[in-house]
Amino acid sequence: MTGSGVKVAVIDSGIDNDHPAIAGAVKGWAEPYEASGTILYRTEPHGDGCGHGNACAGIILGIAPDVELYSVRVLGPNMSGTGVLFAAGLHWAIENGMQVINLSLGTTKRDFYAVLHELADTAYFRRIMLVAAANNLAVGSYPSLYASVISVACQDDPDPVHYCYNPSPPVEFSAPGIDVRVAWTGGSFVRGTGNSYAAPHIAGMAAQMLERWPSLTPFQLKTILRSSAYNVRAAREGQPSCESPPLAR
Amino acid sequence: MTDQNLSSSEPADDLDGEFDPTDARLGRSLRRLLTTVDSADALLPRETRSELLTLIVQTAARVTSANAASLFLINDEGTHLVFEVAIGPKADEAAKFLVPMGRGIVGVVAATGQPIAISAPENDPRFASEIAAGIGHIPQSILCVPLRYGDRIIGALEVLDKIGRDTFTASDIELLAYFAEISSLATEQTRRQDDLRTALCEILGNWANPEDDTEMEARITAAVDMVLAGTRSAPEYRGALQMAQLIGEISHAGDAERELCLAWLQSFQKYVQSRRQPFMSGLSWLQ
Repeated sequence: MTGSGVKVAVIDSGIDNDHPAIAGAVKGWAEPYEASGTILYRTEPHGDGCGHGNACAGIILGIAPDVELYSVRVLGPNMSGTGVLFAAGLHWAIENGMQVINLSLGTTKRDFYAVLHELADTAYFRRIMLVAAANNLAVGSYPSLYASVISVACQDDPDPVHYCYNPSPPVEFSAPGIDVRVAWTGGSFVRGTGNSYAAPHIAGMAAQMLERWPSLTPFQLKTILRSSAYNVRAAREGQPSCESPPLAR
Repeated sequence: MTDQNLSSSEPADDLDGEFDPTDARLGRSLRRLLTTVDSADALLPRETRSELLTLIVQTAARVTSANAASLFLINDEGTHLVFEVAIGPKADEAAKFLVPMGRGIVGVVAATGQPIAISAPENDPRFASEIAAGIGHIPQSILCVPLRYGDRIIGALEVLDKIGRDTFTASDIELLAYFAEISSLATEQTRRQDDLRTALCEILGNWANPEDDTEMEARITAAVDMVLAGTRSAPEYRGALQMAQLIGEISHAGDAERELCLAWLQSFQKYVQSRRQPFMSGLSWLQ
């Protein structure tokens, strides 16, 4: 399964379509902006000013190379943005037929709790998979704390399809994110660490599953992800457990 | 905080005999200032900022197995990061640099509030190679976390060259974040100490050149307000200061009052911990 035909939005700093790791996979663009008190969207092609969006998109394509990528740019070149534009970008992705939305970003500002919660629930009821990275610091950030998203953090296991299930939410899954090689700006690659790089692994796997079963609900997808998780399979097969529980202490 | 909270029960003659009864209001104001200072002092570290931060950075480097470490603070203009503490083989050279916000790993961390951990930084466009060249050392691995106080980013804490491994781990991120939290607290509290010292010096300086009582009272009130609502302190600190003042008052009311207050606080603390536990355990699993 390669994720063929599955629409995946990356809400981030943009994606360079000519990066070797992307190679023209981006089929659509949206960039919300505020004008006269309303939100409008630029839909012409854009790039990635800081590399973070390329990194996420490259990881997704590494697992599901035939997905249709959509770049929703809400972060500027310095990797920062506003909660309003973030919510607007998520709204665009929900309303434009995306099946998987990668969210390697979040806000700690309580002001956006309600609006992002409502958007996350809307996505959940429309069978749209929101895959959100947990905050890298021990502070909660939205939308990764909501039950309606698939919340992901990183683990110290380089195998790209080794992921584990965490029975103690809000983080539900862990995936590779320690010193991983990722696409960056200007056609380059760098090595980086963070939950941002773990979420796209799960997003890529979600796209694979939606190719096979397009009408999955988020609840069903989570169930399949759990059943296939490395540590759950190990336990089922009678092995002691996940050999190295992801960063568990 | 109102006057009643602190000094309505204080008779005017509690103050030094130089004050006559007409100075009662002025005396109450001064007493309020001193009570505020006293309460604040209870929350402040005794070490100097420099010694304390150096100790924190040294310990952070040791527990993350780093060969060098630096702590940066954002300058008052918000344009640059200034080396506050640098330890390691090239510490003296490092301390000479000003890092523009958004430039280099530390500048990006300070601008975004998100930690960065990288290996082989010379291949990373975010790495400020000209600064590394100026210092005369290109690190093999970098971990940098923001210093956050309330909603504000006030600087960054960086460790370099993980010993025995190519890169820092997610556990190192979590550990360093704790040290960053302590550094932020120490930094902001010593800033508050500076504010208090300035306020007291101003009051005492004016006392030597007496002006009319009304103006003096206004100055003291302004100083108290500055301490309580200073522009550089986060609301959490102001709240803690007010709590300390209230607890100080209650503890002087008698043994029974003190014990009741303590029991209530301990009970409330248990309740808060019980609410927080499930949330934190979920996060700490993977940070």
